[in-house]
Amino acid sequence: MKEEKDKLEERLQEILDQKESGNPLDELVEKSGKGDNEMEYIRETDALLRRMDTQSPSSSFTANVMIHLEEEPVAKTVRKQGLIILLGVVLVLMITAFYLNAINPSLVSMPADINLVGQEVNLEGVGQMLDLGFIIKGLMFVTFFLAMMIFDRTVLRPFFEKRIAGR
Amino acid sequence: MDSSLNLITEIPNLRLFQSRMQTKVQSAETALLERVISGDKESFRELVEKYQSFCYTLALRILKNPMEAEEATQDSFIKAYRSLKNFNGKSKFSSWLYRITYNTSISYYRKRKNHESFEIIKYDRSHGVENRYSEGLDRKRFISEAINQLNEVDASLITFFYFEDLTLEEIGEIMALRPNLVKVKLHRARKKLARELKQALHEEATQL
Repeated sequence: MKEEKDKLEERLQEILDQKESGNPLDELVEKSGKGDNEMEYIRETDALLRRMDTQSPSSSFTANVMIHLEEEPVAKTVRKQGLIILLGVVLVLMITAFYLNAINPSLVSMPADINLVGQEVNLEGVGQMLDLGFIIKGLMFVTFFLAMMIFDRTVLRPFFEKRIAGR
Repeated sequence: MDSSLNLITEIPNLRLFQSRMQTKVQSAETALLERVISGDKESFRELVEKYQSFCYTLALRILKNPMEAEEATQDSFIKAYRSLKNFNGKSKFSSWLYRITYNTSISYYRKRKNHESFEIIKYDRSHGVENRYSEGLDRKRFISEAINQLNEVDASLITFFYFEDLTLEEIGEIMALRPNLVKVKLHRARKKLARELKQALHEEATQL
């Protein structure tokens, strides 16, 4: 008898978990017998739960969430990542400039030789050397410009924004 | 005979229609999420409006305090917004958001448990009896109050299953429980509610 009841209860549970309604559920409750109405209460509870509605928060809820988003936006992490990329670019440029300089140090500054004054100078290859020197100087200029940008974003702007907000 | 045949042929069509609709809704949501990630904050408003009721109900079932539930829900949406970049899209956005809400509410609940400063509005049987019998038993309201008597895990299970129509697998994924355990716990919670209802109706009958 108890086994049969357990089986019926298991079946009821299966029906409810599968969200079936109608005939199989009614038949099962009928089968369980009128003496034991526990199943009927479970079915009733299930039916009541299905009719329940969700509750809503206060009317200002969405606005409150949106205000908090203004304070800590996704953009902040994007900005952070942008700065890290910029810093990486500066480092790469500095390393490139350093290696180019190390390969041929005479490219950057050529010392003047007094003994050569008045002699014919062999200008072969000077054009190429000047071009490389120009590139290194260009790289240094770009590096300096990017470093200034990082300084502006990380130090200057936050400093002035804070001062403006403090007023 | 003809009508039953029609029904058999219509059911697969209905399922196909449902799955197509679901795909459409999901792709619209994906587009919305992409807009939010690219910096369009206003698009997040749509998501808040869409999911706030269920998230709030879930938090309320766990915390049993409207003010605290609203705070936890708000916190959950902000957390979701901040970590939206980490959402990999393997699960549904709703499941991901519900997991955040569930975990946030549970941590609020634990914090409160440690401090014990909040007053939990619990269902009071003796007080309820008077109101119930003056106008007959409002079963729907009674069940709602009885859910508040359940512990936070059982109340969450009931909320996920009945209010959001989630499957046992989905509930297990959100609550980090095995589907079998979800099944057992859900059955126990349902039985507990049924016993409460039976007792209340019995009390009502004796009062009358």
